Amino acid sequence: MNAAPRALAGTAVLMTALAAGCTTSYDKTPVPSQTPADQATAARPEACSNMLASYDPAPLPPPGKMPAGSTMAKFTDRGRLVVGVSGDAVPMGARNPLNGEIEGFEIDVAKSLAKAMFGDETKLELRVIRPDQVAAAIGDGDLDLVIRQVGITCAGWRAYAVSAPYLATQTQALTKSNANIRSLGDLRGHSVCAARDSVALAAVSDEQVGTHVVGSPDTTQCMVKFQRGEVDAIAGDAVILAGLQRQDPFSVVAPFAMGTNSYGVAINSDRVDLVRFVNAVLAQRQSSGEWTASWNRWARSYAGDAKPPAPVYGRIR
Amino acid sequence: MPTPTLLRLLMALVAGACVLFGVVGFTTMMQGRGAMVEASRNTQQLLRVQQIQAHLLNADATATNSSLVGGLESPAQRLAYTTAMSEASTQIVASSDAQPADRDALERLNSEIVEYSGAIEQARANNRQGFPIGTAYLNEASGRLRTQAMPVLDALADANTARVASQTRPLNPWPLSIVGVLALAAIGWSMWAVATRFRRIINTGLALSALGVLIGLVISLVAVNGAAATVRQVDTGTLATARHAATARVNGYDAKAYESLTLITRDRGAGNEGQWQTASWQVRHQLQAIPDSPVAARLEDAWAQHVVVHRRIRDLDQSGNWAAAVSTATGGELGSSNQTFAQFDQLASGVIADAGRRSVQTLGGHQIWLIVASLAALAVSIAAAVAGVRGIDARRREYA
Repeated sequence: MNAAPRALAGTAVLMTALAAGCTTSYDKTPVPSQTPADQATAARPEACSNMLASYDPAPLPPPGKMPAGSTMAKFTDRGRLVVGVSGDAVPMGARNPLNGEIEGFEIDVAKSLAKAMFGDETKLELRVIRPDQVAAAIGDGDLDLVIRQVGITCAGWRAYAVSAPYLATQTQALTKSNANIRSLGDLRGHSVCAARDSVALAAVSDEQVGTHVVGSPDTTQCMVKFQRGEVDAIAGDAVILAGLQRQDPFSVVAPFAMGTNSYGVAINSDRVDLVRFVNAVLAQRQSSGEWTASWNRWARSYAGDAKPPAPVYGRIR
Repeated sequence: MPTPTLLRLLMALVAGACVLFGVVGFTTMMQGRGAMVEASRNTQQLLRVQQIQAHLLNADATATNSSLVGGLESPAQRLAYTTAMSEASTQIVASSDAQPADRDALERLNSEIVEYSGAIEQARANNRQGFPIGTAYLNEASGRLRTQAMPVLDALADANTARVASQTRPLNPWPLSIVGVLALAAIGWSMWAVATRFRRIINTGLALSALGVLIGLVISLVAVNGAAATVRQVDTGTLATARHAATARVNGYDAKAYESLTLITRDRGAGNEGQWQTASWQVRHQLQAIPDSPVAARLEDAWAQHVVVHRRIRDLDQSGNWAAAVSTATGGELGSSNQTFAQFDQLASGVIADAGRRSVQTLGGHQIWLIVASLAALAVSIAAAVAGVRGIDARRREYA
């Protein structure tokens, strides 16, 4: 019977060795799929009659003495004007990395409005927003105004009211300095980035042009794609492209226009009195030379000489 | 049936029952030991993954914080960023070695980190030249970190949490108990059969065999229940503390990055501040879930101090004093955001390291008992088999 215990002991040793050597294997950790790249879909621009026409300007009351019950009186009671602007679009509205201040041509427009309303241009709260936030921010009343390269379009008028234009700029393309793109036809076969829902996106999306269009939240984000080589060109407003070109010496604004875009101040549709007030201030800026001084200070070195756009009024509610 | 044949069958039955019991007991306890080894290994991997998360969000918070001062970035902050990125890379390599099932996800994470650090360097280069496009790169990098890299880390954390959970399920003692009782029944029946044939009630060998199986059963059940209690204690105690503190720390870093992004984008309480509040709520929620109340209270207090400073920053920014808000957010002096956050971070890191080490130690310590118990149960069951066989064999020789 001595063999049995030996066999049993051998079994124990074998089992111990097997158990010690056992390792657990697991299913592979699932790798989340990557977020797909931006795809652009440009809606056909809506047609309407005289989209540039805004409400007639109202006589300007003295600063700090807004008509009782008016939208402006509500703002003066609150003590500040809340304006949506861009934070990275040189020379219109961009944060200066050296001092952190947001500055530019559009910021001057906001300051003029605050000065006309309060007698103090510092009674201003600037909030940086994205283009796709404009309609919601105006509609919800989070912002009193948006001065952020809002192109005056028929679709825009359906979402909010717009002032008379404070700037008219051409739609152009920014390309590599050695790309030799001199006409719209030269963009054929190239990938072009444009801000979603922009006039520029609609221009390059035309099937006749034959470009591969990439959408982005705004033109500055297109510049990131451009510098990474993900796109060959950027379609956008000339003044913004000029600001981007200054930050990248290996780019050039191509010498052809794809259309014109006029910027207006976006305002809640129910606040017609505010639109009239804004139009009066914009007209005053033009007649007083303030417009030209501001352009020369911020944008002339980028985009050359410019003239204020002719206001168009006569809209009836 | 002839008596010699019956006795041989009884010897086989007793030996088989004892050996089966020994094998089941040994296997059950070694399974328990294996589960503890795996629970410990997966816990270490989970903490490693959460460390990577914390390092990356630390790097992002530091990069965004530095971006607020443009080209005037302090060497200390630059060092903090590079250290955090280097630590994250080291932990990725260690994690990849430790768990082959995580390798694909870690490879993808690594490529995302390369993209992220490239964008941060471009943001930095542009900032130093005063180009506002730097902000776009920074936003893109931070956004990419959160939309591309963090989901991979979340998947890794989920997978390792599930692995820990699967290994900390209590052992099922029923198969062992049933086999033990059946072995005792087999020995008892053999004792009755031998007693009826030889008119002697007590067979010493079979009695010792029954005693051996009983002792083996008691040892096994005590060890299995002890293992279950230890695993439960670790899972709901130190391991839960490490898990919740690590998640709170990760969310804390997220909040810190959003605090800087709010000031950089100047959106004054719009998107980024909303994200800060969500992250801060997560921090408090996770801290409240820590089972160790004094530890939870200390961490909650440290976070509350940081929240007070954050509110001061928001008040300064909202009242138009952006420069003072930035100074409070980027300085390192007493009462600054960086100082209160460092205090929270240091405390949380200490708690995670301590709780993680204690979890691994407790699980590792109990493994030794399981090995000793499993070998003891096996030895006792073999001895029981030998005693039983010898007891019956003695009757067989008497008959012959």
